[in-house]
Amino acid sequence: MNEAKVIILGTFAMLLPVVAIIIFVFFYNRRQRLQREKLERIEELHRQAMLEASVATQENVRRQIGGDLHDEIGTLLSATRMSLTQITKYEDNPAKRESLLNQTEELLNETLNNVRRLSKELMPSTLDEFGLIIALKDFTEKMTEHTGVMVCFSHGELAELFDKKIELALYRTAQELVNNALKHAKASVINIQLQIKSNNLVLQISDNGIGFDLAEVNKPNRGIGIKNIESRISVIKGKIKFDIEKGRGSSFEITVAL
Amino acid sequence: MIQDLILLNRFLTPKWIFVIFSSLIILLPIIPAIKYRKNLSNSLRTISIYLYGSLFLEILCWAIILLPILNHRNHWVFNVLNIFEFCCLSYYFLQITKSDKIKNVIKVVSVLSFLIIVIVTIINIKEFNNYDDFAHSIVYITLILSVLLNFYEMLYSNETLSLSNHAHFWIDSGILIYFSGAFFVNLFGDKILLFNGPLKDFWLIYYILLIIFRIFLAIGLWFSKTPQQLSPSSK
Repeated sequence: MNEAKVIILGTFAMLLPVVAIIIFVFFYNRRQRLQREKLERIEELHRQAMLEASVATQENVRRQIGGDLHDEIGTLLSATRMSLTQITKYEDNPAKRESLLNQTEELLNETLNNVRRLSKELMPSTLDEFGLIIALKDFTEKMTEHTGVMVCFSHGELAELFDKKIELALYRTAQELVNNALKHAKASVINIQLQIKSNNLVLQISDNGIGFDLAEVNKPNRGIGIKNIESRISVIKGKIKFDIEKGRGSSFEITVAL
Repeated sequence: MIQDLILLNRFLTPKWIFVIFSSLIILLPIIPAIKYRKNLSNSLRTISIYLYGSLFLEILCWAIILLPILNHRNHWVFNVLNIFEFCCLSYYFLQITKSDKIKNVIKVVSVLSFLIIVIVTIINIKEFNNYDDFAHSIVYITLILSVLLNFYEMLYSNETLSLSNHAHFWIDSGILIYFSGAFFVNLFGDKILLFNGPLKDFWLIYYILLIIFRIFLAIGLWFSKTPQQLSPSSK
């Protein structure tokens, strides 16, 4: 083989890896660009879905408040008005008047209780006054008492108060996830754990239920969607990790930087 | 004494200064390997071990050339370096490969190549002081194949990393350029050494490739100071 042939072969041998690297870089960058675009589209869809979920949640809450005001408070106030009208008719009958006044007072007390309950549902007073830990403790105790399902809450040595927005978001999230576990996963034990890990507040909720279909609970009109939770958590710049599968217990981990 | 002076005089020509420079440039990747040793991932640690070993063998090579008591024959060091290079870099590829399928291919090819090299070395043990071009070729082909498989895996992985900050990309590219060129030099070494005229120093191409390889290793190790992380994702 003469020199020229060796040189040509050598040039090929040197150029081939360089060309291979250039081709690799070209395809890699193209693939990365396509992946980025796909990711952006998914993020955009996710943002859209979260916005829709947030709007749907607001609508649900409004509908619920409207329903409560109309069905309970409205009814009670109508009854009170009727009772008061009756009182004017029995001005000459003090005994009947007394009885009607007592009845009206009862109606007003009931109305007041309903207003208090509604207000508590909108903003739990325990959370407002004593913070997240006491509120979650109170919530889990009540849930255990009312449902018969063991809802356990552990917070180790943690006893401090956190930012109000974070506390409310985590409390609502815990409420929603416990409700999901009760209604859909049919859990008999639900564990809630609150702890601080490397300057992050971590809320972990797990259950021993039968799991549930993510698509099913994600329907915004159900008011129980994971997107609602994600939307709530994203407001406080938190992260949520979940492990859901039909047929076994679910677990959620919400991390919020302090 | 006169012989020593003649020997030293031999190294003062531009081409030998260039060869010495290509040896010295091994210090370039060793600097980040030492400086960022705490940040190094396991695979980059393997590369730094390879560099320390290469430095030791490089020093040994020059000691053999310069010290008359060692009879100036250093080809066996190249054979040792070749096996050492093969072991370190194959292990590096096994460490960086994530796909089990590709990892198995690299494992099988590496083990087979290693066995061939061992058998050939045992058969030609008396020739160990001579340059073993067959073993070298096996090593080069195995490592080139490993780089290509690794590139393939990088291309189809879901990681979103910028290539220019990707330590493995630079190291793989260096390996591909160096070993492809070295493979050619290895195949046509006898002919290249017989070149005349303006191309008589064509063999220096090997040292150019070695310098490129070491610069790429240095760039790769330099990027170890900022460990790359994948963006967190929810399951």
